[in-house]
Formats: sequence, structure tokens, C-alpha cells
Amino acid sequence: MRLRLGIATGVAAALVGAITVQNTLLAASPAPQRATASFAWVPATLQGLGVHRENITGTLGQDRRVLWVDQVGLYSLRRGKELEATLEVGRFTASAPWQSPDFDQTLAGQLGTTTPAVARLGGVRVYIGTTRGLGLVSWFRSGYMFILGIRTTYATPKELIRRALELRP
Amino acid sequence: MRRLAAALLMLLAGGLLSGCARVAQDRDHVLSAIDGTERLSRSYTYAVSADGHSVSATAVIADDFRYRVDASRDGHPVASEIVDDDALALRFDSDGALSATGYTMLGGSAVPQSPANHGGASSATDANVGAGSAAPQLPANRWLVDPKGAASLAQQPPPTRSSGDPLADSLGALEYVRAAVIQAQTVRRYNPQSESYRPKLDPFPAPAAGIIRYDLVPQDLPPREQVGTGNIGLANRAPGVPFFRLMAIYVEHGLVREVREQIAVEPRLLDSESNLAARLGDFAPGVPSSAPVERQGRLLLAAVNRQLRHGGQAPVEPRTMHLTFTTLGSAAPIALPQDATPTDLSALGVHGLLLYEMS
Repeated sequence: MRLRLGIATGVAAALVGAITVQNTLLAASPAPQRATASFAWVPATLQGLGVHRENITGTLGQDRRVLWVDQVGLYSLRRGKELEATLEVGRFTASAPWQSPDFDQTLAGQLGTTTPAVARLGGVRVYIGTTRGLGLVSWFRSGYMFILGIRTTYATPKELIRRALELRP
Repeated sequence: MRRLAAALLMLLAGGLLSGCARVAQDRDHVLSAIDGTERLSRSYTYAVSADGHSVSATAVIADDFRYRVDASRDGHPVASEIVDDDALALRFDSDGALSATGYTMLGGSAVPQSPANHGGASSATDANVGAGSAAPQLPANRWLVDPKGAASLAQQPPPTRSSGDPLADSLGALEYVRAAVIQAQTVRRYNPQSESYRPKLDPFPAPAAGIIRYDLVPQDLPPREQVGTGNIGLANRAPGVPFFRLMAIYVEHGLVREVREQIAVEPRLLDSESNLAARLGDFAPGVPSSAPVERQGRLLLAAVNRQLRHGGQAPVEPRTMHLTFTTLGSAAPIALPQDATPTDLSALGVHGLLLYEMS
């Protein structure tokens, strides 16, 4: 089954929602500026998949909540025209306690429909959950949150995760 | 006088509270050591003796997606497993590793169990039945590799008891220890100077210098006079695995170095504070208190396991387990075997996911 970009942006919207500030006082204040971003360190290919930045300006614009991130980028990972995975990158604001395991776990726990398990890969805690048709993998590094959504039919998800873990902001 | 009594009571209460806090801290220290150990590359040996047999394994864990384990039974190789990200390589040397997978080996090959061949048939005819069916036949004594055999991101529940599969049991050894720590009534730092320490009932060695030993202390049964008659109430339930388990966890610099476990009935019968001997008739009616302890233990074990199974609980399986970490923080490189035969191993179920920690 071919996933359309609409599904990818739908997933992206859900992922953006996961990094919403859970503070009613802050949420009542005007939403800060946030921008879609093109992170130069995201490569053109990842494990042989073409990496393309997707336009999520509309999705971000509709969301008036205060987020822990001030820049968000969504990338599609395709083999030809076939969408195999999405990579979302969010840059945390200075106030986000992203180095706290509890904070990370809370954010990761809001992704997908299962409680994520934790794998340790190269010293990084990687949260792995699932939602319908997707494996959802998230990790935190250098002030960024990475969310890799991989189709469950993708043949080599772990190698893709390992390649994605090599990304350095 | 009343003030003095009140002050003494306060001191006593404070002492009890600090004791409770200490016990809770000891449990936290052990769980933290398990967490820290699981984060590291590591190598270890795992050995279990049970029912007159021994199972041992050596494991090298580079990380949760890359590892190798080699298992043997009674000194003979049973099976090996290598996971390198999505790729899975397996080698079966005997059927000891296949019992938990639904496969068994016939005529030198491993084939799925089915109503036709379940039960360990060994004739060439039966082997041919397996070969002729739609189910895959797995050759023994050679490496098989499936490039996508470990690709699943599905979660596996952490092991809380031995599965009988030496590969799975050795890979899940630390998580088994974690479950035991959580189940234990008390986790206490080893202190041979303590008034409550009873060396005759301690089967484990003292820790070496620089190593802290933590003991899982099983709960004692309430004395006979404190419980009612019949099978009503928690106090009269058959004691489960944690009651018969002794475990010592040796920690160095906040990391687990070694774990020793003994699950046995006789030591608990000999431990007067456990109240098991005094309440033998509650769980194993008809067993004479004058019988030798060995016989008492055998009959009690059978009776207790009947009750546990009836209640849907894990039976008590006497054993000793020894887990020893040989390296922490490094591990030999994990490589797939060069001479492996490409094989679809998907029918063996989920392999290759070491998701130790459930968030």
C-alpha cells in the first residue's frame, strides 16, 4: 500500500502535538513564533532513501498551542515515489528540559498508540512505539528531538534507525 | 516518665522509618545498577543448574540491536544466535534450544511441531513428513541467516521466569533479575555483622573488596497461630517463587558484576524463621513432620506447584543461576558468519529485540 503525503503530514501534526507545552499558564499566553526549518545537516539520502523536506507550514500555522520547539522540519524518506518513512526534527527552546529522562519519556510516550520501550543504541536512549502501520522511533540529542516514523513493511528498519542516529545537528 | 516513654517511642518510630527508607534505598540502588549495566556494551556468562542438567551461555551485547549468544546444555553446544540490526543468524546444534520456538529437530533437522510430529518423533519417515510439508525445514549444525529475520520493532514482554529456551533466557537474564528484585519482599545490603545474618542459611560467597552485595530476602510465612484454618485468605495461599528464592546481586561502581540465585525448598524448610516447616501440613497435608527433609521438600514442592498452577501462578522450579559479567563498557565486534545459508527464519517468531526497559 502506498502512503500518501497527506498521511505523512497527518502523522506530523500528531507528532507536533506531542511536543506541546503541558502548562496551562503558558498555553494561555500568545503562541511564540515557530518556523519550519531546513536543517542543513539532514542529508539528501539516508540508507538509500531520498530525503525531501516537506511543507508543513499550514499544519504549524493551525496549531496555536505553545510548543517546546521553535523550529520544526519534516522530511519524507522515499524509494522512488514510494514513501517509506518520515523524519521529523524539532529544535527545543532554551527552556525545554530536554536532557531530563522524565521529560524525554513523557514526550516519547505521547507518540503512537503503545507505551514505548527503550533500546540503547550507541549510548543513546531510543524510544520505540507503534501506531497503525508505523513504527515510531524517537530520540533526543543536542537540543533536538528526532522522530522517525517507519512503515511496518519496511524491510530494514533497524539499519535505518542506526543511520538516522548518526545525524548530528 | 510518660514523656520519656513518648520520646523513646519517637526514637523507635524514627529508627523503624529510617530502616524502611534504607531498605527502599537498597532496592533503588540495585535497580539503578541494572539500568546502568543494561546501557553498556557487555559480555557475560550465564549458567543454570536445574533438574540434574546444566545450561550455560556466553553472550556479547554490543547494543540492543547487535549481539551474539552461544548456549550449551550439559557441556554440549545447543544453539547460537547472532543479531546484527535487521539480520538474524541462527545455528541449532540440538533440539534443546527449540522447545520454546515450536520447532524440534528430526533426522538432524529442525522442523515445526505439529499434531503429526509433536512429541519428539525421530524416524526418518517423520523427518520426511516435515520436509514435505509447507512448513520450513531448518538444517542443523550449520549457520542459517535471514537478512530480515530480526527486523521487527514489536515489543517483547520482559521475562519474569525461565522460558526453557537457553538463548532467550540468557539474553533476558538481567531483566529476570530486575523482576526478582521488584517481587522480593526485602532487598538488603549484605552485612555479616548484623544480628539477623545467619551464615548457615547463606549459600552465596561474601563480596570481594570494593563490591557491594545486595540480598533479596524472601518473605516469611505468618506463624500458624496467626492464620485461620482452611484455604481462605492470603495468609493461607501456597507460597510462590519469591518465597523460595535467595538471590545475591554483586554491584561494583554502580554496575552489576555478578548475580547468584538459588530457588530451593529444603533451605526454607530448615529456616525456622520462615515458618514453612511449622506449616507444612497447611500446604502438603499428609506429609509427616518426621519424614526426612529431602522427602518433605519433594512432596511439598509437588503440592505447592499443584496449588500454584491451579491459581494460574508460575510453579516453583528449583535451580541455581549464576550470571557473571566479564566485560562492561566494551564488547567484541558482532559479525554475521561468512558461511551461513540464506534461510527464511520468519516462522521462528520475533527475534532480535532486546528492549529491556519498558518506559
